Amino acid sequence: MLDRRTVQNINWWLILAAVIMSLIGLMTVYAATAVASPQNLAAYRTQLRSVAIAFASMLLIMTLDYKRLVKAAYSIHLFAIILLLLVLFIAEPIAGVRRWLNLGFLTFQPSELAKVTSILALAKLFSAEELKQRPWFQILGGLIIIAIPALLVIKQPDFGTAVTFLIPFLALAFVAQERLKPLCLTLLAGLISAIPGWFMLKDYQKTRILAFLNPSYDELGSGYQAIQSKIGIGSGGVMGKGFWKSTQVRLQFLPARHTDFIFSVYAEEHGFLGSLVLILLFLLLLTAAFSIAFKARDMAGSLLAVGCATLIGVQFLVNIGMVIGLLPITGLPLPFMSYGGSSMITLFMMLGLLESVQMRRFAF
Amino acid sequence: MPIALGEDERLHERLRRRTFIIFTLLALGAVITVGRLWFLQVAKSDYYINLSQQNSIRIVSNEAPRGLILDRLRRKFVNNRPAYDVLVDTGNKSAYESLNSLMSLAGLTGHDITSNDHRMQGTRTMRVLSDIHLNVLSILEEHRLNLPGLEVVVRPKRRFLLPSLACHIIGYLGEATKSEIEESNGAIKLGDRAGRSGLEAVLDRTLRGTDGRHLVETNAIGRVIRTLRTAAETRPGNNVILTLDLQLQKAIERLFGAMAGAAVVMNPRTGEILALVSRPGFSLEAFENEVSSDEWHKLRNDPLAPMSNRCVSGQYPPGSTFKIFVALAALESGAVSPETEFECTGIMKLGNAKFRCWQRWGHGHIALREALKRSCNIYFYKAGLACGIGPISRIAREFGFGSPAGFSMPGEASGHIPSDAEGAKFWPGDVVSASIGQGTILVTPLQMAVAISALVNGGKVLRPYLVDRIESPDGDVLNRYGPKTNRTLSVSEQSIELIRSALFGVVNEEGGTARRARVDFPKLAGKTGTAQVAGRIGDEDIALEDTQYGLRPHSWFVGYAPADSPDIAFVVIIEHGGPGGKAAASLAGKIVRAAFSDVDKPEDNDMNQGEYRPDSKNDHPGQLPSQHNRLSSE
Repeated sequence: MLDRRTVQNINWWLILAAVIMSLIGLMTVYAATAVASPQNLAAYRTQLRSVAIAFASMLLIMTLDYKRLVKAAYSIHLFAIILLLLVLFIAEPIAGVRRWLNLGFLTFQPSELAKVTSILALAKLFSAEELKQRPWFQILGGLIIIAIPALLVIKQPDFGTAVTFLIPFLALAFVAQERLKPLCLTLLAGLISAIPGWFMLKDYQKTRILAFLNPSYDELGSGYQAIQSKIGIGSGGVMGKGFWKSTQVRLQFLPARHTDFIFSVYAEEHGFLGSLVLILLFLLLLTAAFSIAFKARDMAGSLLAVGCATLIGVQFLVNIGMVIGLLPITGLPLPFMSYGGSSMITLFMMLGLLESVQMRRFAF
Repeated sequence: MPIALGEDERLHERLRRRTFIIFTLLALGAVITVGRLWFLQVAKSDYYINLSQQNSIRIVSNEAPRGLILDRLRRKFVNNRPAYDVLVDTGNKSAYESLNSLMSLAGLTGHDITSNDHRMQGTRTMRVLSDIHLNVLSILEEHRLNLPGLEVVVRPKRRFLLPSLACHIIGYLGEATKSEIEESNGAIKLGDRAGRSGLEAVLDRTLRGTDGRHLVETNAIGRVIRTLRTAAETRPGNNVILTLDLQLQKAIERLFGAMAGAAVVMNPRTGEILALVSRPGFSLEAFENEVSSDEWHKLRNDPLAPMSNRCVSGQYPPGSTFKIFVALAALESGAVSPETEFECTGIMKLGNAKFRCWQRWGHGHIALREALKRSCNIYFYKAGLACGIGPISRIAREFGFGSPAGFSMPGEASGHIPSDAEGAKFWPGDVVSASIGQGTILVTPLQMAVAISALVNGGKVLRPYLVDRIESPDGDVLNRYGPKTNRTLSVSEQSIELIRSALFGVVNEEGGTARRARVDFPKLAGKTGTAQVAGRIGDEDIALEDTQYGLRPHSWFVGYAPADSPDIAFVVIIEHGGPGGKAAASLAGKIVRAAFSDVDKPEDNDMNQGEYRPDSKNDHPGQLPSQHNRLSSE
């Protein structure tokens, strides 16, 4: 499978950017959790192990030819859906939420795996030659592909993750379909039906959205998090307070500081310059990922790359947007940085797919 | 294939174009993000640095005062007073130093430090001193600027008119349990208190207000400068207006003195409870300050059971008060007529057993009215044997004995009335015992009050009630409770008239057993009872003083006043108080006098002073009220 030429084609920028971001993430997880004493390394160690496992899974996927993966995409996606069902029925709830599957050496969220498999399935659907003339069929099929895992995830309940399934669907439909009318009409219908759907949201989800749309509407929890996060970031100034000097963390003022709000800790400790470095790394990653999409040898590869690149990009921007008070607090992690093994593994699996497309662009 | 290639080219071109659009949008997002970061970290960084140094944004929770518990004339049994707590700011390095200096200034020791030290959610403050004395408060205020890191917050705390007044009815609070917090849907937080007994428990949801929740900015000494957001305004709980008469309740409790027992005063027309006394009681104030486990065990293990509400959960043999119902059963079943006479020689033989009358030398030939008035045992033995246990049980159940009265208080007992199946196995001796309210028969004082009411209100067996209405803090009536008739008696008018005439005689005629209860105005009527606890019936040779306390009979007096058109029905039982004609009858007389002589004063106490009221105009939640308010509480 792997000949010299394939290996030579690896896009090192992509991997470099991701690895640096992961290391920055590790450092920040350490700063955010080793608060009481520097010896409190449990979260740091877990994250380190996650990065290692994630990196290995990327390498594993790189050895696979993406064309074969796309060919088997529907079966793979079905497998992920079965795992999600298993979670719903057998998983032990953690903090009232059934989301994790215990694999012994790590607990895994199948919802994260389903993100990758749905990109595969969507790439297959939207690149299928025989469906070129049936755009509505593609839209409907795509919706089914993402709706099944999204609904199962909502049941867990995890609204933020459920919404993220939409991102690759929108991106792929946009890129693949010649006429945009079906997609636009679908979006319009979706918006109209979202209004009754609002009443099915959990109260805390509504308050999160409302707290964003109208700051005088009030749930102190969300508002408090947002304000503390802004104070942390703003007080970092240009140069930052320095590593392990975040006062918001030391005083345990910022909730979810090593998960969803990790950027706040990073920006407080490393200032505007540090933030800029991170954004540049992100742009590097984004450029590398999209260049793979540009250069892919076929439509399936191109779509696969677009799906992965867009999902990573949107998650990154949505998370930072929420931390800096531009977007509502949704509970999406920051790619490569937030504490959490499943998300890390999924992200590197997507990198593996991207590289697989990149490496085989000349292979015929 | 030139055409296919062209198509391929077009496809490629489109893919690239669209992909590029997505890339551009994402890159644009990154640019906006950088702009926002520049705004936060460069343009406004001074502002945020300042905020982070003071660390002055916090969530404050303003505990809502619980609703008031008022009597029928809106006199307060319970209200709220301000309690001042001292918090330390765990983020302030000099906070503990400040605490030490405060403690030495005010002469406090480590014992005064409050033990539950959970942080308040979303804050970094910790409660260290709870409900401090006003002296300590003034010392703290005086040295405020030299004591950085200390904060004072005010919260409402229960205040009682008298520490043990109506303690079983009012009830006490305790720290909410984990499951209560979970079930409350956010209404109860960690560290909150919840009703544990009495109305505080039964009406916990009603009495509980809504805590105010605010996001605030504070200055260096912890005072609120600005409220940024308000999640909820502080709203006091609803007020509960009882049917009780506070003055009467207080008077009866005082009359009981050190005696153990219970008294119920009820409006026989409606079922309103005017007084519900169970003695001994306990101090509600002790619970307000968290009882120690020693105190708790002492209360729990006290042989006189001060925590139990005897009115609803005390089950006693009714003794001769039960003769009222035996008489009705005998009349209604046709076993006796008003003229039927039995001979009382002071002793009755039944097989080998001897049953005595309390009057050793007997009452001679005696008919029902006289027998009830003089409480002749032999007459009722014979009447009971003549009609059998069946009609007696049925009449008793009709009057509400043997099942809970449907009262709003927890722990209501059923008492015991033999069932038909049980009665079928009765020996004549058992019937004899039942005829004078002994044997297996048990009643609660509340059931007795309901039964007496039914006797004088035209036969309505009422549901007794204690809560008249629930009012919102603004005075809107949210819920009103009224009279409810559980059942109407089938007993004939004439039989009841005969009984009532006899009960009048008990108090007001020569030879009646309750001459001690007599009051000139209003005339009252009633029935004495002497309930044996040691299985010795009709044997009162031994002087009361020579009997061990626990073996002395219970002393009953039940009745109503005024006799011709009763406004009150009352039940008095004094545990181990000896013959009913003595202790209980004289106490009942005093109760009736108290109930009718008292001119109701609207407000008789200092319960209005220094009351805690959340101030909606004050934008400084959780903070000290103005100087003026504070002084008024001293």
